Amino acid sequence: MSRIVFWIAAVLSLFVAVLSGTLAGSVPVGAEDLAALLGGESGDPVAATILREVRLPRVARAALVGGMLSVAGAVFQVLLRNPLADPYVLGVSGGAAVGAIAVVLAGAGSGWTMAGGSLAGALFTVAVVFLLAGARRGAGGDRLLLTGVVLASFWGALVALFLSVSQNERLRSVLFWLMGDLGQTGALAGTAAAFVAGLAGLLVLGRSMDALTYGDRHAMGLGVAVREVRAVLYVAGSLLTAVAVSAAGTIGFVGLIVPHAVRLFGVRSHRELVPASAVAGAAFLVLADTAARTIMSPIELPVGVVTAFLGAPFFLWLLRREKKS
Amino acid sequence: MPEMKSIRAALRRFVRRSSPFFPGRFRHILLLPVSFLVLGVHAHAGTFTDALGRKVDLPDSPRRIVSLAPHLTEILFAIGAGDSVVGVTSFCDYPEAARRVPRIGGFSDPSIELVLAARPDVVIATLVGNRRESVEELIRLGLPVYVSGAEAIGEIPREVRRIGAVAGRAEGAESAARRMEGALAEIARRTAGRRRVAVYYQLWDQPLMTVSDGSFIHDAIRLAGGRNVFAGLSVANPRVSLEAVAAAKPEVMILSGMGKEGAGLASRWSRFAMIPAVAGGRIHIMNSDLLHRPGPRVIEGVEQLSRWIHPDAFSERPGR
Repeated sequence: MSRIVFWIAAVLSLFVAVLSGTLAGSVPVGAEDLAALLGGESGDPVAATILREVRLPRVARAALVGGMLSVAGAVFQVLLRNPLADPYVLGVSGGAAVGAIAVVLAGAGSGWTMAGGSLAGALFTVAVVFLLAGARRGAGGDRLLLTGVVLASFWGALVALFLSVSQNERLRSVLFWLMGDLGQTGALAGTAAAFVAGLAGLLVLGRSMDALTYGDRHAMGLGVAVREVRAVLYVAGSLLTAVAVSAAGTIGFVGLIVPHAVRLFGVRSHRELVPASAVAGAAFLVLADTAARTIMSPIELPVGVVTAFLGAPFFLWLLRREKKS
Repeated sequence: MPEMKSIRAALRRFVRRSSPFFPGRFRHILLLPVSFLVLGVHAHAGTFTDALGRKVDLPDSPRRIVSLAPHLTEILFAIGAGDSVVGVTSFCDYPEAARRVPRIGGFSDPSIELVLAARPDVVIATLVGNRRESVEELIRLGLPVYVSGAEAIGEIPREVRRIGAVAGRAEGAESAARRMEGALAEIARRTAGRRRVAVYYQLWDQPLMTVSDGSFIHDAIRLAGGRNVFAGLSVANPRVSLEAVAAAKPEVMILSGMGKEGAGLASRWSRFAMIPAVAGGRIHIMNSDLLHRPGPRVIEGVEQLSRWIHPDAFSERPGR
């Protein structure tokens, strides 16, 4: 019964987030304008253009990216059996950023090539983490996590190197991109397709993910094809991260805190945790972006600043709470 | 010869500071060859007051000038001091002859070592672009540093004259400054009494960034007869949302770019017909080098802006 209440609350919060994100901004837009646009009627043309060209694409982008980062966080937390794992901490976001920057520097910075570059960077990071930390010998999650943290720092240094030696004008955008930029204009169809594909694959693997949280041996005893499942999870986590990074830059804390927040409501099974993280992550990033756009309007804050201000205290509170109990 | 002594002292201070990199006992041997290089020194000195309010003693007609900013390099070449320039930043690309001058590092972070090695009679620095720490380090090392500063475009001719005095090219500077003042007066005459047109200036497209009244470019828009729609924001180069631009209803939009990206910059706005500038087809691409450097060419930039903002003011023939 409480499950139903939880799901109603989750979907409702996403609805509220999308509605407030759609209606808040510099140009006044009312609910009747939104209704007119959705109903196909001809309302105020200014409001219609703002909604169609600015707000709805931006809210959709925030929702997709928030959902992808949260699901990726849940996947990495299973893979590493460590609650600290998240695409940002593990260097996966950083690797994706470096891949995208390398593509820009090579002079081929279109939407698709950047997505390809960030996917290569994300997959490379995950491969290095697992190869170096010796995943085959069943290394502990701590060691994997440390390897990821070191790689994240290294990617940070590499970005600093690119920024200081290159005189490529486009790289100025990268500076902002590193704290998240949801105001980009590229098409969202590819992003949405990657999200749906990743989510569908992970839903099928829900039970296997549950088994993996108790350790590889336990999962094998339950008949899970551990190596194959792990491989699929790596690819899915990296793919979701890479597509999210190429759509909106690197945004921290979303993948870290959203799955934990969902677990607070007693959600344990990954068949439920993964879709719940997707919904909650979407709502969270839409709200964070709405705040980033409106707090100092018309000046925009980087959305990564807002997620950090919300995420860091939450996570610290969570750590303290778990220690007590 | 006091200058020679001071440069030698500067080198000694520099080596002392860098002592971790040199073996202590032999440190002073390193100074010997450098000391011989420092012999080209001038007899008479003049005293100048720079933008930091310092009184600086500088040689009368310096033959070795190091410029620490693209706009300073442009000013030096414009007043005819180009052949005395022995060091520029890696961003100094105008005029063509400036590209052949040895580089002393970047703009915000010039290399102290390379500046010293250029054996300058004068180093011309700026607080708009050079890191203050770098400038202060050069001063601490005893180098003859003149810090240039022009807060507004109207002050540039005066600054050109000062640099002319520092560089020993007062005549060239005077005529360059007169030309600039004449051009500014002509723009002011043509736009006088006209309604101030609402202008949006796009500094950067991803993310969208504009200028407020804390920026130099705001001044250019004002001089050109426009009204910057984002004048009142608290940050000099604020990041704004797309719809904030739409809500500001600019009549003219100026997008800064490097030419080849121009068409792409403008097409992004084509779907926003509620913006008067879009509906009226008044979107223009500005060569950012003209307007973003507070040097001689900024006057050209202001004139270009003014032609876009008040096209009818320039349809009549010049003259008074």
